[in-house]
Amino acid sequence: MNTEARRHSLNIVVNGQAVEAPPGSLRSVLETLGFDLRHAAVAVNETIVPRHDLDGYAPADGDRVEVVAPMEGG
Amino acid sequence: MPFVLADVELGSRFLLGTAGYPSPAVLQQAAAASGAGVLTVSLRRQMPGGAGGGRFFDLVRDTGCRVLPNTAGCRSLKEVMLTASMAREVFDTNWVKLEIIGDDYNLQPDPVLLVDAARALVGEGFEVFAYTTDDLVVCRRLADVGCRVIMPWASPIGSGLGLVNPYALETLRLRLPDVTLIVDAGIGSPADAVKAMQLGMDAVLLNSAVAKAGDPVAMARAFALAIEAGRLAYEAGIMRTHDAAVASTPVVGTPFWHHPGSS
Repeated sequence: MNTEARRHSLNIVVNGQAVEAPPGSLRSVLETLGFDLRHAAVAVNETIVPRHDLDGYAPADGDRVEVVAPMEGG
Repeated sequence: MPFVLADVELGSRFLLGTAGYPSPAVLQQAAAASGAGVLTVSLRRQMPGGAGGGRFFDLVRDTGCRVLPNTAGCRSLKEVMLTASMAREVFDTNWVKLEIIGDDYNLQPDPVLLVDAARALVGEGFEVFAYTTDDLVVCRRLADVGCRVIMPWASPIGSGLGLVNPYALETLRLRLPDVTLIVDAGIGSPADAVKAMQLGMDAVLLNSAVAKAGDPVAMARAFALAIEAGRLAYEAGIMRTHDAAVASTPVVGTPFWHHPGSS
């Protein structure tokens, strides 16, 4: 990977919002953005990324990420 | 007799929703007063920097109840499959309340998508609690694709209209004797819950009737008693009705002054 590629920041869409973040694992990207993943589930491009894969999954530019949390329901 | 729901023995036939309470504390107290063994929950997009649903997660966990995540808001098979998978990840359960809305006015479930989604979810190892209308054939199809628990509505969600078609519910009981039937949606008052249980429903799931009551905690207790009373009545066997009066006092040995012609 050349220096320019390493500097490249990641452009993804998280919960419908376009965001820019330093590249890394899905966990590190989301935690950098301020998400609390303890009780969350994450999907990328409408496919779930299991909790145990969050460290090994590297999101790419243009990915659409959904982070959901528990809430009240009937 | 204990209530067995999808292989889990429960002490109550009351399933309670967790939405719309005046405060988390009231929800917690209402859940305790209800004696419910199952609470329904949902998922939402997490806001960065927020609590991440942790407080709600802890509140529900501390009740000791099992959770039943729903697929509220889903309108396609794809959305249902993803939501159910994410709920399984968050709540660590294969139980899912399958909810696919087909109309915005009465939030009526889409029967066609429902059966397809139920089949797909069962195939993925989910225990599907199918929220549906009271249509017998749809319910039969749901059972055919592997739903052991079917949840017909009493009337539209949040309407409080009660049992608008008791005949349909009675027919479901008669025709699907081996399916666990839970009335879900439309219950307004404890009287509705008694009626549903007297028709032979296995359990009642409700939310608004408790959450929107003047005193949700007291109402949760009222529903608990009603559901228990209705079940006891069903098991006890309710007397048949007659168009004409039938004297309850024995007529044998009636004193002479009751006889015609006596003075």
